[in-house]
Amino acid sequence: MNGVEQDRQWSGWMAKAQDGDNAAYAQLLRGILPFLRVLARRRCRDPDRCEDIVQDVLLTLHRVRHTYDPARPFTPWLAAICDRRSIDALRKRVRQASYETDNARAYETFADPASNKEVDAGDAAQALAALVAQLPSAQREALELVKVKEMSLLEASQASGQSVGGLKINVHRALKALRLRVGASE
Amino acid sequence: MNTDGLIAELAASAPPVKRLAPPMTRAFVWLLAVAAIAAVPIILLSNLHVWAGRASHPRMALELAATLATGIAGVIAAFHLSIPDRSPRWALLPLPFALVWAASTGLGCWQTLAEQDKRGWGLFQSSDCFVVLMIVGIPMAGLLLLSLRRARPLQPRLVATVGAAGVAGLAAFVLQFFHPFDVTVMDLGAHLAGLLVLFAVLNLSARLGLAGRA
Repeated sequence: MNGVEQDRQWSGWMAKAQDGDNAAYAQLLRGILPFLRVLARRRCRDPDRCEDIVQDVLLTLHRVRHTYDPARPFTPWLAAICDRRSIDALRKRVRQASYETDNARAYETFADPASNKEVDAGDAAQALAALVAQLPSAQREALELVKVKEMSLLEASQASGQSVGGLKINVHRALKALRLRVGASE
Repeated sequence: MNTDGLIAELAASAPPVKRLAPPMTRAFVWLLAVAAIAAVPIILLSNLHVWAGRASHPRMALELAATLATGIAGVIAAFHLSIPDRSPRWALLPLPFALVWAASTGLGCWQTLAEQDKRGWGLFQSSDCFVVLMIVGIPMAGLLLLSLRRARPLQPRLVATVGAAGVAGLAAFVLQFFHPFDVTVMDLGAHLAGLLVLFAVLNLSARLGLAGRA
């Protein structure tokens, strides 16, 4: 379908939409989407912002649909709305940029380092859990029973089946390995 | 909301709409209505004989024609600009007429100054001019604003500015029926101040009234 035929089809759908034909209106809005996306991309590189402009154009078209004259071509009417809304979006972005500073870290933590203890503690716990998971199973088991669950060496020996001496060695090796890995990750 | 959802919602809430008449038709209907309203005080209160005598002078005739043309062109341009697909160059339509208006008024003022020497600086009834401009201009602007609002203009500032220029021209034309003497320097200053106040008030109210409509 060439440009003239497409314009005629859109114009026909719009005229029907003005008369209250909702199916023709839905066809029109779906039909013009690719055209609007191309126009919006000329003014905006960010895909999310382009889609915002397209949606804004659809809303504007809906509000001013009574101003379309079916005796005139539809495409310039639509393109003028898209142009205007693209410029408005650009102006809005420039205006916002003039008084807003984008700092991604500001949204992640509080400005005061002392306020971030909970957030940082959660991060540290996750990192430590990941390091513990990498230990050999005998060392991990010895560490969990003796240091995390705070069992006595005898209780831990009965629970794990490891000898008391073996538990002592495995806890020592586990802590040494963790110190090394924590130091390496920092 | 995603775009498909938005389309479904818009399509489901689209009752029939009444199409706007072409902007030229709307402009002429508006101008005719305003002419009919303005004709009443002009016929009842002004001295048409004196006005006709002044209008027969070539410079005055040019000034009157340019003032009226500025008003008509401003209104026509504002109606065109209120529709999305009309060229922004419509905004330039009143400009040449406004330049002729300014030039012919300035020439008349200079002639008065040269002929009457010190009297050319007199104040005559400048405050009355200001009042007439406001009385005529503000209701006219209200009517124009109401008519333009129906189109929900995408560029309310441009439409308001051009429309205000049109109203200023029409108000200045009506003023001439109640202004049976040539302008002095002070008169010109009062006219200019009146037109600027009118322009500023109309522009601001129109912007506020038209903004955010589309």
